[in-house]
Amino acid sequence: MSIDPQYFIITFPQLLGAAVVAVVFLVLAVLAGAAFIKHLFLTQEESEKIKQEARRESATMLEEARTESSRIVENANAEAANILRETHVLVSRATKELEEEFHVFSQKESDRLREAATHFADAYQLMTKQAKDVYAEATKRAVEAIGRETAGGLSHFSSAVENETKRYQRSVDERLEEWHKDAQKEIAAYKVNALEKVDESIYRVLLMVSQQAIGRALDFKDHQGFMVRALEEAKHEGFFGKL
Amino acid sequence: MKQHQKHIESIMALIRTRDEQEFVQEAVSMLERSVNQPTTFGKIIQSRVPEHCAHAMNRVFEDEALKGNTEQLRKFLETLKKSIGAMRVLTLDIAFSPSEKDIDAINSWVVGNVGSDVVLDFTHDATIGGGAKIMFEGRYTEKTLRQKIEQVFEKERERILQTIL
Repeated sequence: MSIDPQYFIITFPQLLGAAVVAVVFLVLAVLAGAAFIKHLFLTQEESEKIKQEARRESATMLEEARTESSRIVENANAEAANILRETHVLVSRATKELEEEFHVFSQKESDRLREAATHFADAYQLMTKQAKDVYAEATKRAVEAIGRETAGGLSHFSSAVENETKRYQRSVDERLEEWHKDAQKEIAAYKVNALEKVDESIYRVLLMVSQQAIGRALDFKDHQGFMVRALEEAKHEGFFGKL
Repeated sequence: MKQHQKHIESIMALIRTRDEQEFVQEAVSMLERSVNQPTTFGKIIQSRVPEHCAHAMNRVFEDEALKGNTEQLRKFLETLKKSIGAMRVLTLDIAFSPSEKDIDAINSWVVGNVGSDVVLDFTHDATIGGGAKIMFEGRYTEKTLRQKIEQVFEKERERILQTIL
């Protein structure tokens, strides 16, 4: 199938109409562009203005909010102080009432205890008296019984004690006599011993003094003589003889 | 030989004490070492031997039998040294420091009564008073004044005590 080429032929009116349309479009496009550019410039200024307005408003709002909050805080403080004051008053009142109540209560309790103590003391006194009477009675009976029991054995006991005392006295006398004799013997022995020691000491001192005195009294000639005499004696006793 | 023995005994009789014994023995050793030079003997004896022994020793070495006979001289010195070394020791513990005179007197008694081969060794103990404690060849005896006084006191004890009390 093929297309007829005459469909592709453009006529002048058609071309003119197209040109007019094109121009109209072009004009419209220019107008639209101008309007758009203007709009752009206008929007920037407005936005700046809006921003400034917004800043002012926000500042105003902040200031208002600050003022409001201060006011609220002050109110709160005042309210709190009020509440505290009221609470204090309430507490004072309650304390006072409690103290009064307590005073009344303690007074009642004291009275009650005093009364109970009085009753208890009376009861104790009564019981003590009764116990004392019972004890006195029992003691009296016991003493009477013991008296009866011991009266019989007392004389026997006394004689036993007397005998034992006499026996002990004799024993002590005998021991004392023995000690006395022993002591006398010891003293006599000690005396003899001490005298012997004294004698011995005097004797030794005399011997020592004699030896020293005689030794010192000798001169060299005497010493030589003693030496030779000593050797003579030794020889006489056979000291130098053959073993 | 008999003459040599006589010489030896005469020298030993002059040695009185342990000290003198050591001096003479040392001098004899030196003479032995100088046996080939007998001319030096006099000098050695003079310088090494106590004075009272020196004269007698010099006289011994002037003996004709010893002169000029080195071998005999050597034998004589050897015998002399042995004899001096073998001298017996008599120890006397006495109360005083003996003088030369005392030593002479005691030595004379010892040479005459015990023998010429004895040297004296003195020790000092003032407490004995007088006399001596005597030690000889392993034996001991006490002949002191202290002992004598003790014996008298012991014997006369009762009489002394009666007198002093």
